[in-house]
Amino acid sequence: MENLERKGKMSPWQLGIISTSGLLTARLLSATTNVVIYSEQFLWLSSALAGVFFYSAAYLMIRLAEQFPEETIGEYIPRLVGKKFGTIIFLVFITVLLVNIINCTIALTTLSSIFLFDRTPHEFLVIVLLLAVVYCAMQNWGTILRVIQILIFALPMLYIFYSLIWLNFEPLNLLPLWPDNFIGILQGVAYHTDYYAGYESLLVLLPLANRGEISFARTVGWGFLVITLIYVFGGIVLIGSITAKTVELIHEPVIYGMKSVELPGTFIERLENYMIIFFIPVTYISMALSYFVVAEGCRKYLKYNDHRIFIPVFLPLIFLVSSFVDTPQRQAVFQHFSMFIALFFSFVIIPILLFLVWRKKGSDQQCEVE
Amino acid sequence: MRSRINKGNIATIVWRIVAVGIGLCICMLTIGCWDAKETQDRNFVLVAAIDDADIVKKSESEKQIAKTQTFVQKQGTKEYMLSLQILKLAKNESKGGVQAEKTFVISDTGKPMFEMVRDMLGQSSKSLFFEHLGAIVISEAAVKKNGLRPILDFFRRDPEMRSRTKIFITPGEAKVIAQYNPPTGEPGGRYLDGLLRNHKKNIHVGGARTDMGYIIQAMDNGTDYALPRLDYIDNVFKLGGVFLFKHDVLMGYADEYLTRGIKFIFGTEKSAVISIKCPEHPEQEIVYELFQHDTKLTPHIEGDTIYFTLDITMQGNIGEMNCTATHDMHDLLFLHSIEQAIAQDVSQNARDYWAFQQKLGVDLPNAKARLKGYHPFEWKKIKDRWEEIYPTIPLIVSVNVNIRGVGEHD
Repeated sequence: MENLERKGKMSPWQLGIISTSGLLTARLLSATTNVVIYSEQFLWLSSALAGVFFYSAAYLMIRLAEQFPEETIGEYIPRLVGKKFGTIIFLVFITVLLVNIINCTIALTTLSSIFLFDRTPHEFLVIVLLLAVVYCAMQNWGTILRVIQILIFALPMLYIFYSLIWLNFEPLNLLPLWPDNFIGILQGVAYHTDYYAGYESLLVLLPLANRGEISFARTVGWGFLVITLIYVFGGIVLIGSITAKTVELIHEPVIYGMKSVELPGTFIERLENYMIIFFIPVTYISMALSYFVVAEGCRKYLKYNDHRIFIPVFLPLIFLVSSFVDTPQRQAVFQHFSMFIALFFSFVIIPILLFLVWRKKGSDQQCEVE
Repeated sequence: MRSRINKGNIATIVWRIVAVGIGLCICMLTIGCWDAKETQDRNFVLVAAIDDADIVKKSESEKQIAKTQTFVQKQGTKEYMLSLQILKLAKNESKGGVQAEKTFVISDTGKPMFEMVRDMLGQSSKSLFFEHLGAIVISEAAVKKNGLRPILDFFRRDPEMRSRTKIFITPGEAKVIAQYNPPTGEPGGRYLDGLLRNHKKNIHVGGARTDMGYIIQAMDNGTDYALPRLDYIDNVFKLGGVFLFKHDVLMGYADEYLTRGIKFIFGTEKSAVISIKCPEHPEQEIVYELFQHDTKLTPHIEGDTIYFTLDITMQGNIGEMNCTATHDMHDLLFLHSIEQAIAQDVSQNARDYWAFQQKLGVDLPNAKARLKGYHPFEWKKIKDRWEEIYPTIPLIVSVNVNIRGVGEHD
């Protein structure tokens, strides 16, 4: 029997599922408030546009990575832009993923400290979560792949559970359907970086995927479509249930929406607590994946044999930042920093790199850069 | 053996021991149940009652008690009295055949609710736990003092609170309601919660969209809302009618008849009864039991004219006939005349409520949001004059009543 733990490759469909399953995390809980401040009751429209917007960035990354089929970003970047700029771009890439891990940690621990463990020191919640993530990221890719494939079942469970909010749905809250603040809706799209975070891992994961008849763009696109539909319907039901104004005024509107659900005739109460429990494995996927990608990216960049050596290197940094960002003001600042650096990497650096590759090669054939 | 333990192996073994030690320490700290709080170490709050502190202190003895149930404060005023009904977790023992009380009440005076709650720990051996809060009862006098928002702020801010906690307004004293022990033996909070849950069958009680979650939403959106009226005199409870709020200000009281009108507009009753005069014996009454009710309130703009239409469809049975003479219940004309009479009654009731709320300036069905939602462009033209236009908007009601059955026995 094949030793699955030694399996180092995945199929294009697995790539699509794994890379997009990491998009939905607990980060969206507080981000929803920011999005709705701009897009008001058109959260669903903003989410739909954001799906197209962020998929276009993922598509550019796939096109870039396809020029260097067996290499990760850290390997081909120095050849494209020189060692100095290559290092800077690689550091930005690593920062984007580390920021994703930190944001996920902050989101989960904040949530836990408000609703589950209000007297446990924040730092202990952080370290426990990080140790669980480190344990997974320390494994080889075959094991991580299996862990993610098992945990991914929490995603439909979470969505089915969330769908109970439909019980409080009122169509009047979504009216008027004709948007009159297009600028606000577009601003809301930018604030969706928390909804679509971590797809940058494609730049390291693509060489781990077998090339088949189906293109990576298509498999990742299907993943984006599913996640976008989840967001669109989730946005419709959230606004329809608790109104856009209320969403603007609360920190975790999705949890609040769940709190308002009462199942008639059942003894199950405080449904928001169950929802938080589902958010833990869903967010864990993104954290473990990003952590592995950071370590694997560094391994390739510095030409080491084992990615595990880089896991403990980043742990103190993630712990310190996650512990420090524990007030709403700091979280807001960090959230803005995350947004700008993610947008900068996806929509400035990647298009420039792609342009450089195309200019260098003069065609979209596979690159054979000297 | 010794030959196999070289320097490298020793370093690995030491590192593993250190790692296991760190892991164990972390486990000790993290599984140590920082948040452990046993059930018997909590005082479960079931009802919160808020009164105007000045009105509650009537007699000399009460004034003395009130002095104990408060605290010295450097700033602020003693505007409210907060009373909390707390569940006794100890086993009840009956005294002389009389069931012992399951709850007790503690009170405090001050202004910020949270400050009073914390000061009440001076009267409670255990911490106060609000996760099972079933009802908040507020006296009319307390609401009139500063509006509802300052009173509810603590309850809406604390994540421990539930979204579906029921809110009542009482014209009398709220504390005595918290002190009430229901004859059913239920704790007071559950009893009040249960009273309001019956609103779908009782057309005189406004219970839909009146809990914490909906009131918070209404406050967030600046829309008007209603809260059920709870009367309590001499150990007798009675729910009926609603208090109407414009934004945060108590504007008036809608009695049971007007509350019926509200429910006809919203379509929130499911098994309510409507009584009308018998078409053939006007001195007698026929009771119609409703089991399906659909309504649609739609705004219309034609030129400069704005009006609303209310389309109601009702399905139900004949529940009771008080007529001394018998009727042929297979006579379709007679049944149709009953349907017509019910439709007229419902239509008139809805129009009466509409006129009443316009007079008060209250917009409970959220006509403003409907107009904005259905006609966004026209809304922009009139939104600045809305307060002036609203009282003049007519409601055109169309009611379709169907009698599905006439009961088991004719």
